[in-house]
Amino acid sequence: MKTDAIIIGTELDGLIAAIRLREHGYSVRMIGNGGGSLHYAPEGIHVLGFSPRNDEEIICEPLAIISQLDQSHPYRKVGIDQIRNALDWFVNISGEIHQKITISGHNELAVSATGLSIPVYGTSEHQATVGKIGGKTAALVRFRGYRDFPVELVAIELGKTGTKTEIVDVVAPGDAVENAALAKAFDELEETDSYFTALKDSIPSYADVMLFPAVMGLSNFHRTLASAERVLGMPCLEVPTLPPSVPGMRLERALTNYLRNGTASLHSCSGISGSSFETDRIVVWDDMGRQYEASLVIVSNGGVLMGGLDVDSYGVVHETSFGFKTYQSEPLKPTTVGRSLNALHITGVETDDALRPQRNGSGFCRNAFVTGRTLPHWNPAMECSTEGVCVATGWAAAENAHEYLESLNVA
Amino acid sequence: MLHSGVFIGIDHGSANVLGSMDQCTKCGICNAHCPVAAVTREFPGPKYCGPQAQRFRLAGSVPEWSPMLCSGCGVCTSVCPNNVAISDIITLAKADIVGGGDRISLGQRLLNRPDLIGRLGGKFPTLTNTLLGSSIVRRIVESLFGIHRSAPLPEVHGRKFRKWLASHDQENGPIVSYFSGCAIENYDPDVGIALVRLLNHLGYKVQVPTDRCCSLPMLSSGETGPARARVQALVDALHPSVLTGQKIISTSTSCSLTLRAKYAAYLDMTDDKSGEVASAVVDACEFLLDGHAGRLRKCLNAMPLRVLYHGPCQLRGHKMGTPAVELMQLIPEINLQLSQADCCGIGGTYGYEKNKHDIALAVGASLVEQVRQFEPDIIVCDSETCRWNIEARTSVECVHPVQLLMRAIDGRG
Ligand code: SF4
Ligand code: SF4
Repeated sequence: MKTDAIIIGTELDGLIAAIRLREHGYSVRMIGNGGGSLHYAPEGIHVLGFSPRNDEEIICEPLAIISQLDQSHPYRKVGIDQIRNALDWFVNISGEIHQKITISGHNELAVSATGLSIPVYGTSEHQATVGKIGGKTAALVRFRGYRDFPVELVAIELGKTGTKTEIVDVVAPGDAVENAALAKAFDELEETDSYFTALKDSIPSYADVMLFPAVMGLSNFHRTLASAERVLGMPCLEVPTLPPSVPGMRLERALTNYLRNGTASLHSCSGISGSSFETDRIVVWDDMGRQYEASLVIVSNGGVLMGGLDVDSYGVVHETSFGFKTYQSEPLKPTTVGRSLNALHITGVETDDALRPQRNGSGFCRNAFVTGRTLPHWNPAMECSTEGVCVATGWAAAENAHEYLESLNVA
Repeated sequence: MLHSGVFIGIDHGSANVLGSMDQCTKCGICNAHCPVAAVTREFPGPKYCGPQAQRFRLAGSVPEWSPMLCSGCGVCTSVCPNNVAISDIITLAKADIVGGGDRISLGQRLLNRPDLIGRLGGKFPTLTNTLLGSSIVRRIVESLFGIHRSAPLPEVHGRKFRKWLASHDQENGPIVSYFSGCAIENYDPDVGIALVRLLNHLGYKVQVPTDRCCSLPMLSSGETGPARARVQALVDALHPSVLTGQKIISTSTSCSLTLRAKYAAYLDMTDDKSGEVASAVVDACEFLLDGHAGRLRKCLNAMPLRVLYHGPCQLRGHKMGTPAVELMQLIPEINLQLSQADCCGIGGTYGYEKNKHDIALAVGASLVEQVRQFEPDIIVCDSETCRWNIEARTSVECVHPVQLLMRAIDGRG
């Protein structure tokens, strides 16, 4: 079956590229293997939290320092104008899919799963940020039997930002104890008002904000949190939990639905097991033996960490699907990687400024683009920039692909 | 230029399935998506039940029952970022628990032979349907066989599809094979009729080489012993058509997934003949979409209906996306909404068993709720047991995508 583009991987960057290409009117097939790294993403859009040169240095205005980044950094390749366009576009989409993200032009401090404050550029409505809770007294909810939320640690760390916390013990609907089971239980809770009314007595009267672990539903969380705020009479916010991240799953689900619903494109779920690469035509085989053809391919399969790139026994990184040339700073051996996780993060498929990779010995491909974690020269963990780079490169790849497909039509 | 060669192959044998446990990084993503773990704490979830417990199983047999609570939906395998064949590991554990079939319940044994029940019942369809419609009889069936009294048993239709096909004139054209399976042969003849008419419309001549059952119920509940001979006979019956280069089209996503991938995974049937049959199998919607969309678009009449599409779990195992959605989007004026539920709950024969019926109801609750809110005129789903379940629980007509397409061609919107 033939489409204009094939996207390898179901990461955030791939979803962004797919939606953008559909907006341009192209047919898209996504071939991805398994749940994407949004399952590890805390809430919010992290654009650039710390300086890539010094991870102690908190960045206040990420967009103002893009030009100071290394030439090879994905943000430099995309360029500041495209980054702005991409973020504005994403804010729009996020509203349409009911996952509204607000950006204020500078970083805020958001509470992380361990209570630490992390700089974040775009926040969602119920996300707990230091700005919303600093100096207040928070009732911090601990669900009975639920382990993926280190309540005591969060309380201690919040204390350091001037937030007083009181831990409140609560039984979740259906006594659920896992992230997704809790989310489903809240989604299906019919009488949310009476559930929260029953909680009311255990909440100290001096509390002025409620903090829940971010498991308050996958599809119905707006309703549930609104009901909590109405009944409890104070802001009800969510603090990220250990993975898998429910807010990340919300976003992945909403973007996937948006892609499937509004457009005729297909979202396949499979690994790829072979390919043939020509200058004007790409064929890939999935692991069930189906053959798919397209004019171009976008590789957004999550790099080494998400299994998109292979590491051989010498510690050498390979892009096995198409044979694209990779970059790495040192061999990725189990013994050395332990010491320098940085080497693992900054590994990836080398590209030119248009995000186009190179194939063994030949020049840069006209009909292939690489995005997100598959790109080298950035360290998402240290910079705290995952979603920003994914949105920016996914968008840029789609725009560059659009240009290429148009040139084909003209010719 | 060919870079990395042709594809490696369809699912490999059971050793590869079990070996994949070592790739687990305990990320918990599978647990987060398992529809059964989300509704009952009796089931410890795919991470534990699959790769984790498999380590103990290696050391000898473990006294365990939890694999039996898995509905086999395959959602876990499809979301695992590390390619662990989770649901296959669990299915093989089920086979160990029931000793390949020696320790299986009478009710499950019955459910595992839908072709046999259908054939017996088909001799006296009216009597069978009346009997099974009676609540007293269903109570007796429940206590004797453990088949829940309100599980959605389909109506028996006798040999309606065969009879229709025998008297149905087809013009000459390229020949394709249709694997009807026991559901079409005994319970759901209209789907088969719709497919044959649709393929005729596109210029094909359809032949039906066999009416055998794919034996999925046996395989997924662990009754692998008796399944082997049945499966071999089926492969033998299909192989001649495959040799002539024909595709084998299936309207049942569960049968086709079984034919494509599960004989190798559960029965170690990795020989060439089985492989050739497996590679020839194609889902009906996949077949229709590939190269026929243009023709279809021209003959589909407007259908201003509210249509809810529920993609069955097996679509994930097929890894083919949702071809039915793309086909239905060709129908003018259709108001199509996609189901947000991961699973309707029935899990093949899973929800029929008395002790699992409540879990199945809880799993399907979100779909029922979506139906209540959207108020569809019709629901579409590719898998037969899902259709019977959805229809029974929502009282909304539930059809296969090819039935909807055929109605659009007939102008019966
Ligand atoms: S999703 Fe895969 S890797 Fe993660 S816990 Fe489950 S089996 Fe293990
Ligand atoms: S196959 Fe379905 S029910 Fe069984 S463990 Fe996996 S997700 Fe859960």
